[in-house]
Amino acid sequence: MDTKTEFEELIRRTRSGNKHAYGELYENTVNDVYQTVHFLLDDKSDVDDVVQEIYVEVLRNLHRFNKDKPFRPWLKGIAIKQISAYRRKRWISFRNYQKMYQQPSEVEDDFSPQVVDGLFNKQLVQLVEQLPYKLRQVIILRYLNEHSQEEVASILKIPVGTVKSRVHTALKKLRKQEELGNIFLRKVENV
Amino acid sequence: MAHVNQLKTALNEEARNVCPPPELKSKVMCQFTQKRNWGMKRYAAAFLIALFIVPTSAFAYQSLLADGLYGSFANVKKHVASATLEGYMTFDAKLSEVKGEMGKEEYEKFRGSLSVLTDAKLKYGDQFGNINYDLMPKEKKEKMRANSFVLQPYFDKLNGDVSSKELLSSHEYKLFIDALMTYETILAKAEIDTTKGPVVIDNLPDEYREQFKLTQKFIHSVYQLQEEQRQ
Repeated sequence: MDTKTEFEELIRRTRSGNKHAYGELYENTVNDVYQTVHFLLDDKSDVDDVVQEIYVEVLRNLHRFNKDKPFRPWLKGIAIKQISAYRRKRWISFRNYQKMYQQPSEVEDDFSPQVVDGLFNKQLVQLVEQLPYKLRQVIILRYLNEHSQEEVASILKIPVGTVKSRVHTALKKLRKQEELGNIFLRKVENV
Repeated sequence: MAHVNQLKTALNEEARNVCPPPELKSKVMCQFTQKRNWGMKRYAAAFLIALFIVPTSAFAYQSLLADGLYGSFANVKKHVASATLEGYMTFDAKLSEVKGEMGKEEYEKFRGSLSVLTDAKLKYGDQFGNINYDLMPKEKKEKMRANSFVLQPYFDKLNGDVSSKELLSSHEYKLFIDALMTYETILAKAEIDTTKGPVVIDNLPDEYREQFKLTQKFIHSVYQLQEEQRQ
């Protein structure tokens, strides 16, 4: 799809109250948004609610969207804002405290017998999910959503230099963790 | 670099299994309808507030948005004999609703276009507020026509309808605007009191009836299209 013009048209129609256009806008963007939220939330059972909130915000703020700028990074900015709001809420809630203690069991489940490649990929994703939130954000935006460094900077409202250094730190951490993981795998094979 | 590629592959592979459930769409679409209804509720609230405040407080009266366009209700009354305070308040409530829904810039644009129309209503309108566009200088008429092109989508929005500009092709949209202007012109020429419910064609002088019927039919067909879209 010719994204820029297509989005422009859909946004214009949605703004004028066309429900069908809003439905199309949702269809064209939801996969991307849903996956981002999935990877950035610790409690996956809340993903649906957060995505729903994001689209409410999109609707509320659509009149502020500058059509000269690309739509996806703008949308991702709203998504990140909503995820942060959700995390803030969760941070102070008791449920969050409980969830922290439930996590290890989830990790163990993922080590079920699989082909080594698959296991390695899963393990890598797990390592990403265990990264500190700020590092995880840049990794997901940069390598799952494939946003440019400049786009990531504008989504997160931070300087490009900070994006670069966070990506660098994240990759370094992953490499380090991965080495430990490989040792663990070898140990499993030896048994 | 190999590491980055591996990371991308791993994330994409995992993401393939992450799909939004189909029922999420209906929840999100529901919000769309609700948001439109919030607008209506705001309008109702603004209207009630306006009704309660105005008779008791001269200060509140001064701050009406409609005054910014018309000067005051007394000023409208001077020009348009049939104007009622209730109509004026409804108009003001509608303005409040628009202001609540639009960004500042967009509202200013809307207000600018609206003031062109309200100025014209005061200057050229008959005692019922209808303008005979045929009596206007040609240049002014063109200006009013261009202004209507901008204003009509806002009016559609206020009525809770899909924008006629989006719904119709650009040629049809031009015809629609012309039809609305012709409609008003006939009413002004025939000196019909439009404040007393729907226009009865039999009350029109013979020479206007045929043209009025055609114009009305076309306008109604657009309204019907909007109605269908709303459902």
